Amino acid sequence: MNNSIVKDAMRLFIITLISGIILGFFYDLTKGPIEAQEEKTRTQAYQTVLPDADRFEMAADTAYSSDIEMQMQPFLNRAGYTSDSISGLVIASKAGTYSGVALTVTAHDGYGGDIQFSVGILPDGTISGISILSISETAGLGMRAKTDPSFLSQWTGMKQKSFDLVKTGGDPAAGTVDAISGSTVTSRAFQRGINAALIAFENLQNNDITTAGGVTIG
Amino acid sequence: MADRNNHLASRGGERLYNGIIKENPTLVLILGMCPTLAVTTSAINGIGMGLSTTVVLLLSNTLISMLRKFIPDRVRMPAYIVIVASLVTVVQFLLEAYVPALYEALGIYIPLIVVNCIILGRAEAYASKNPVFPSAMDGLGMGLGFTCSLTILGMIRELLGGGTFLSNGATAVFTIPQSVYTPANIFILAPGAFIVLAFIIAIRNRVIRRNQEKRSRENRKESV
Amino acid sequence: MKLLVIAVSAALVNNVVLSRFLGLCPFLGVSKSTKTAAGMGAAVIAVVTVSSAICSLLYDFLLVPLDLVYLNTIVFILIIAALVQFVEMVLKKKSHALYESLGVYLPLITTNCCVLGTALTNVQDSYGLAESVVNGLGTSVGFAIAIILMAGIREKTQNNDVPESFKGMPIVLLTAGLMSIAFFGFAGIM
Repeated sequence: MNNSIVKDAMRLFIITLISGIILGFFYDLTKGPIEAQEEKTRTQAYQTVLPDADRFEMAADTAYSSDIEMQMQPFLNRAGYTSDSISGLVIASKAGTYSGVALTVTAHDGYGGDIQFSVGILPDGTISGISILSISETAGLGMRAKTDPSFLSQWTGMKQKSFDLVKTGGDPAAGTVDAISGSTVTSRAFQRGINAALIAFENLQNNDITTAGGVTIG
Repeated sequence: MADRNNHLASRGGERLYNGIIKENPTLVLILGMCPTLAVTTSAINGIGMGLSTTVVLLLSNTLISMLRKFIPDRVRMPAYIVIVASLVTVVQFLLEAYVPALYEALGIYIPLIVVNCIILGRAEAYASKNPVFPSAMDGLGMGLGFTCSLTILGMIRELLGGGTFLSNGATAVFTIPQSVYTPANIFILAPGAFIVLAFIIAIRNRVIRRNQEKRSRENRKESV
Repeated sequence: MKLLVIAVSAALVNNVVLSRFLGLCPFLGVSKSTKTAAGMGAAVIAVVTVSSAICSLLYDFLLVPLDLVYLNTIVFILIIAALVQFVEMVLKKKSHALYESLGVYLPLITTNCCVLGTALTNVQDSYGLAESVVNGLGTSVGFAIAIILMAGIREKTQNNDVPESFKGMPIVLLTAGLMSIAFFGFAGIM
């Protein structure tokens, strides 16, 4: 009786062990391509939000501190944006001159979990584009932020301290944008996340960020 | 020997037919409902989910049938779960690496293939008792049956709810102009999933009942 | 406050069955009478809440330090299967009455995707222990609410005159569709 239990357990263990080894093998096999894919998605996003730049450098590769999230959170919290965080900073340059930043924002207040997107901001504070990195909102409602470009394009080319959300009749040039109808939560997550990016940008400009990868900023 | 091969082949064919038509897992057995309703907001997602599940089902049925004499009866459920969970994780890695758009669209429903009742159901009901080839065919048939239902459901929901046909989010093979038909968003949303599936099953029931009635009428005529 | 938002959102706004489509098999299969539905609901609440806690601890203190995050699906499902076995054994020994009423549903819970789904969502949204438990509790209470409501409706309508083709599953699905529309109302409280 005892013997057969041991035998059963042994066999189950063997199956688990072999499965584990096979999984490990596939993990190693696909690790490279997965990272390459993520890198590609990010690079494409930077090019979309800052179409004029010809060189992008991660904050980690520059003179600026790599832990942007920790540094920016106090500023965001002070302004009331506690459910957003800045999870990445990329410095863009064109022909060796500083030409803007791409900030990766993670908004934790989406309807279906975190929303991550990249906001491109020109040196003068104009938003040059917004591109979604990951989103899992409701298909047909919040997902329209991704499928219907007219929502995010409201911000493109606008220069404001912050933006407010209205149901209809928004005027981005005056700081108001239209929500996606039926998806207030998703719209608010984007609106607040973009405002958070603007606050972070302002702090970048005010602070000691002067050079990045040999490019002078200021 | 040739006889045996023929027999195996016909059994494989029978399994395929059984999975796709006779015992279609979604429409007849009402199994695997969660992914069926959750991911079918578009036809492409339905196909992607269906094919991913088919791969897992084909491999899990094959492996479990191969190991059916090795796996002790008392711990068979944990053993099946380990095998299926490993296969699903491998499929998840492959999708993330090579089809990231689909990986993003299906999201949490990929790891949840593990608990798709179709897979453990077929392992228990068929693969644990039958030779490798028919088990593989059983898995393939059930998987394709699942894929067909998901694709049809996805197509209908996408067409009624988004006004597009085979769209991948950005471009579609065919889009109904807004002036002809204004898409009713509800079909993409949760209630639409339930309602469209209810109608598909009802239509299938009706077709089958009609056929039966016709046959029994013909039988009566012959007996007269 | 954040925990309250998580709980309400998991139970009502993003109802696990009616808007996230998890745990549909028992929802459609075990909802013929309110009594069995309540039993199933109770069993799911117990398993989901406890498994959320265990999975969250294991993930934070074992998988992450060992860099084995990619094994999460397989580890979680094994935990859940073991937990279900364990609950079954304990119930059998300690409370036979409860075992009699819940026993049949317990094995079904392993393949109830709302259990694994919740464990995975907790990790995906990087919830800590307290948040995971609250999310698990909210989600499973949402499941219990949905399945008991469904059973109540089915009991009331079982003698209704339904078109022949819609008898059985189609009418249940249509009911679920209408319930799902009703639950949209909860989105307003967010």
